Amino acid sequence: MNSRINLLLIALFSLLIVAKINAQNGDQEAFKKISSITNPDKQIEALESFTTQFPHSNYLPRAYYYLVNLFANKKDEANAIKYSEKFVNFYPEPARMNAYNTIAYTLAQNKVGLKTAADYAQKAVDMARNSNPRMLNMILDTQALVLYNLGYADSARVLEQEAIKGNENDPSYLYYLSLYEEASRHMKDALIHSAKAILYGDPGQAEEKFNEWLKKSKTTEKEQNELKTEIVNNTVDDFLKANKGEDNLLIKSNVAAFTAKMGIDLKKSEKTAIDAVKSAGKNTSLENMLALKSNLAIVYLAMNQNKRAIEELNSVKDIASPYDGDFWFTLGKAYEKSSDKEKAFDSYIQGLIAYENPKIKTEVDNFMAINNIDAKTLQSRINGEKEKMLKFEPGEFKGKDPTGRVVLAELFTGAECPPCVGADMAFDRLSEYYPKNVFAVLEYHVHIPGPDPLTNPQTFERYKYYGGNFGTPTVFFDGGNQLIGGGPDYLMANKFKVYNYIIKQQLAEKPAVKINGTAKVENNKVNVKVKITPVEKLSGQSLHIALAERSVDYTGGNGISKQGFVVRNLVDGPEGSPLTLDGKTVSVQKIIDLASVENTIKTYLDDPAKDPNHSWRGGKADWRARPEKLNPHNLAVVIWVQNNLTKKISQTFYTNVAYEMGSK
Amino acid sequence: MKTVKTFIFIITIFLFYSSVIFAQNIKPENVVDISSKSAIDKTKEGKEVTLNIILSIKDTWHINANEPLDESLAPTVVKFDQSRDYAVQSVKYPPAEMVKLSFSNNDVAVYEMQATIRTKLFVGKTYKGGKLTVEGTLQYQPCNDQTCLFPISKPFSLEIKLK
Repeated sequence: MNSRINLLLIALFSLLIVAKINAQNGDQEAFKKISSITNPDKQIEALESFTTQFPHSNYLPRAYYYLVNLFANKKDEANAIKYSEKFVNFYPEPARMNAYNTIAYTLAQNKVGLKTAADYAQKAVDMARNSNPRMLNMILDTQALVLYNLGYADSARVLEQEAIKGNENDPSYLYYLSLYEEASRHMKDALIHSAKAILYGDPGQAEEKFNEWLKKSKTTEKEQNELKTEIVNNTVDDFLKANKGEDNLLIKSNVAAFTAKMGIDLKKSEKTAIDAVKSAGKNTSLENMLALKSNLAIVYLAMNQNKRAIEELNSVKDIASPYDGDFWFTLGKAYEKSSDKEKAFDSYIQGLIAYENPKIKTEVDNFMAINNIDAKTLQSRINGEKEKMLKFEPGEFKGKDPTGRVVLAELFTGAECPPCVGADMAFDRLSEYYPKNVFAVLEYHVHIPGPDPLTNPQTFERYKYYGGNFGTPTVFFDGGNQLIGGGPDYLMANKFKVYNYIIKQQLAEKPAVKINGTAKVENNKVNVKVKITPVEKLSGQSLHIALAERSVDYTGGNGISKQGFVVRNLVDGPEGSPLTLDGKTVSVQKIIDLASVENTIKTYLDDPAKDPNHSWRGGKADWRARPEKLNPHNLAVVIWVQNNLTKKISQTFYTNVAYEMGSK
Repeated sequence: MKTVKTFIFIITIFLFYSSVIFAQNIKPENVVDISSKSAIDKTKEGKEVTLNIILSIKDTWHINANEPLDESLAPTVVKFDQSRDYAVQSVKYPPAEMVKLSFSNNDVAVYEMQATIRTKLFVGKTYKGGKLTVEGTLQYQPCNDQTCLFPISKPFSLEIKLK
């Protein structure tokens, strides 16, 4: 009898577990559907029903938060507060600091339930002061906004003065401080801080507010100009002092953009910004080149030379990051000033594709209101752009390689790494675009963020060779020009253009050695023969040889199913072998035993715990698959000469491995 | 900083986030700060201590929750060093934030901004000192929408003042 009851209880328990799993699956689908509802009233209805239908769902706090937002937007205070309480109470008491802060901020933004917002903000501040001072600035910032909206501008100013400590150059803190200063009649301070906000990257309205307050504080134009000049000069002096020793070119260019925005000495600003762009050389980083061009465009905009501003920005548009809101904001503004609404909208869309940049979102909302564009149109344009980006096909390289250099890109990636997708796909396109006597890529897999069976002990050793302290994806071009970061699949086109910009820069550099070689499989061994001829005097060089598979079928957690140019072996390890170059051609022969390479991979996959690089998983060999067999028809050898101290690569050589009929 | 820092949590709830134009080189140990808050309850056997381990996660970053939806991802796990002074009674992880990041088609279960792991420790009768030092490691793996970093086990040493 007892055993029957036990069985029954087990069965019931199992059913409960199954029901719970089903409920979890159901809640995900249901929540997805709700997220796509555009009508606010219908969304509220669906969300309220969701919260009763799935009371244990992981999506519950999100549902409550959506409801707070929706009711706050409708100015329905009672319901906004009701769901605020539910949201906060979802979290255990000691972990409510973020929840209090989030709700306080949301209510303050919507100017609804401000007393509740004040109460929550105070609780968050108390918790931060007690246990989490690192978050205090952010939370005081919220409390200041709440009090400002309640009409206590002076208290808001005092709180923001504390909030800004440690973030004195942050344009957003500066802007809000200036807002509270103006409201509490500290006009000069408001002007000083709004000017500083403009210099450090206007979060949106600092420029407009500065001009508005300037007019309020002085009656005549002469007085206004005098005050403005004084504030601008002091702000610039402080900026130059704070950035002593930094990249002079960029600092000067930033100052030129700032003074131009403020309408002071436009001719001087123009000259400085133009000189900065002209002085940029091949050592100017991509990031700085973009900043110099953007600054020049800002100067042109201030001078109402909109066409020239657009030209400057368009000349670097392809390599501008989709995450660089300021770039797309400036381009949109330039088109708006030129009365080209369609291109202005296009530019704002480019700045919203990767994420919803708040500065652009505010601008685009205004733009859409003026031009009668609805939210659906915006979303469909963004989706359309993403689709277009996914179809990106670069064609073939038709240029010349003026120096005979072969550029080597070493990409550190992971099959479990979602943001690696954009980078991986860009390199797939680059390796198709360029002939192999111009560009070669090697992809080293590492266990970031999860176990990747295409990793081997040597790929990780190479990761350590470059410092071992970076994330994935990270790429090194010819041993330098490190670029970190990728993105989703649709950013592949942008990544292609960014990497191509670096490749083109590298191609202009004359190689210090000439490399020739052959590689063929004989009896399951790759016979590599290399000849290196120095073109100029070199010392401290090493010869590196990598065996790669051109394509491996393996689908990791990031969804990429064909992995390109996977490094399977580094002959002589990550440091290669020392190379003495005394002016004559050096011949080297290396034999790579494929069975031995496979055995190393197999041993590693069998027991990764033996390798210290896998220790974080506790040696758990939970591979999705084991792509350990090498395809001898699909191999490539990449040979390069590198200074292991400076990491600079002198030249690279790529060859497919020839497969002799009759080889095993 | 409203548009970035304060707003970040809100943005992530809806969609995803990023405030970095160019991804920066950051070490995984610098993504999470570990601090604590404790409360003491007396029991018949001795003292029971509630120790809240507070993880402060750098802006724009997230770490996998204790139960990530994808098994291949390294979960956030706290491990305590063995000690004669206390025994770990329970460890309770916070609920995951279910967010949709720009690079993923599906939701991911993560912690952002701040997460509190609630633990209960039983202080041994033999313990004489006024302060209790709790040591261990926190395993986590950080990503933002442009880059992922190595999973790391970050050691911590937290002090509890006993009455």
